[in-house]
Amino acid sequence: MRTWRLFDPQAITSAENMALDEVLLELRGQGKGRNTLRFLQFEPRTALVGFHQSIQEELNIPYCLEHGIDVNRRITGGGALLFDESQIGWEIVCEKTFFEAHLPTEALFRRLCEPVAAALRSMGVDAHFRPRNDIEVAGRKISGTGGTDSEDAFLFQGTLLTDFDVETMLSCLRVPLEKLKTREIESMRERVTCLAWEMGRIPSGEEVKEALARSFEEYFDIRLEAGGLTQEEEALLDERLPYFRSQAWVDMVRPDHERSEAVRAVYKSPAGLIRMTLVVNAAKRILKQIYITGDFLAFPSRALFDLEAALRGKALKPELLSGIVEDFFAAGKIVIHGMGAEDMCKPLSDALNGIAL
Amino acid sequence: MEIAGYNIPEELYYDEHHFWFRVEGDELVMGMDEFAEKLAGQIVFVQLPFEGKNVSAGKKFAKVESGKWLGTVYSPVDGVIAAVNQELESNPSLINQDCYGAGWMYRLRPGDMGSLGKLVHGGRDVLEPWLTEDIKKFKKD
Repeated sequence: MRTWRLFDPQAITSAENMALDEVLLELRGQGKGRNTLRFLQFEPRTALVGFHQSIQEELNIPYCLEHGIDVNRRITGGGALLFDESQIGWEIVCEKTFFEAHLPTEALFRRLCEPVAAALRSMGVDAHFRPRNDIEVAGRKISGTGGTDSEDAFLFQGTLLTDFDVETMLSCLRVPLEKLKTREIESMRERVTCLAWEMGRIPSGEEVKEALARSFEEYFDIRLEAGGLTQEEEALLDERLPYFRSQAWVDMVRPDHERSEAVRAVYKSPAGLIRMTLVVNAAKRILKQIYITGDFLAFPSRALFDLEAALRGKALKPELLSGIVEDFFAAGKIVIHGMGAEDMCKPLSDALNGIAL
Repeated sequence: MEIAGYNIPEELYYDEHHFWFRVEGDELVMGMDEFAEKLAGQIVFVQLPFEGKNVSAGKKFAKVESGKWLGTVYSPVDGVIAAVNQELESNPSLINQDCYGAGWMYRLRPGDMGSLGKLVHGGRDVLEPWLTEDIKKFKKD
């Protein structure tokens, strides 16, 4: 059985957290450092964009400044998020040979997410992996993940929503959610969940970390040993930290090609009203986000969220997107009395027609 | 040449991360091969370093993002970046549409082409076992 380092630096600033990510990964990639499970906590709370995102496009900067919310950029992919003081991040920094994986695949994501889902189940929360790389509870997302690699190592990390402040999150993220109707903002609550809502109490950070650590030990067949940074890691951290504090890093991406817009369509089908809101990057022709709501009942109740997840991140090609909807209905993954795939495709197509491509 | 449903042109060189390389005069054009492109799914970002930047054999020099994974691009040679495909800045999905053509990524100018010998290159007898092995390892389950 191999021994990994359990590194828990407690709550630190976003620049320190981001610099640590780079240092741990870079040195591990060169065969130095150790395989590590690390926990991340932020003080002050921080709005984080993904590596290639623009802070001007994704965040409400004046709101963040006014409310003492730090702003920084991850070294991993994915979307903008708010990391408040109650959240706990988990992160694996590991040599690629441990998983015999030099390319990221869904099988790898599943192996990395399963221990987290199992840890949550051990706390009484019925969590499961959802492709491509989320962890969900009855269709509602509780942990989003992202990763990157460097030479012979990779880093894979996730957030874990302990408690969830929907209003603050919507206020500091500038994704055109602010334009969404109240009903759609309410429906955001149906798409995301957190430990507090699932458990009926807010678990302590130590309780969550303990459950995660035990689960990673079991799933990876490793022993975790608490440890700090090596001298080499300390030295590189000192060298890199100023960059992760700098405007040059935080402001690295200008918004020219990252602009988002929201389009919506409403369709009155025989089975009820369907409202669709699409958040798109028209320049890159990518569907960033989709919300499907209405006065119909879908079975199973999570089916609509799974359909949204299947459409998210896909190219803005009408035939591709309606194909996904049709396959979903044909495979019986969603059943809505009196409604067929063609009814769902109609507002989708109308919304796509509204995009100024 | 088609291998297990993937188009893997015979005249190209390939690295272990499934990037392809084509010799054009004293330059190397590179991009993502169809196996990597299908595995990655929708490409949402390609980092375009400045032209003239030095690259080293086996060392990373750029990033590509898909499905919340920020992947790394490595150079097979010592040299400089001669050009980048600016089209990818606004339209990274060109890689998904035409990974060997309009979706090319970088042109490198190597000091010498010697290290190309370390890359995978040859006919079906070379490419098929290599790809089959990786399909076994990495194909989505």
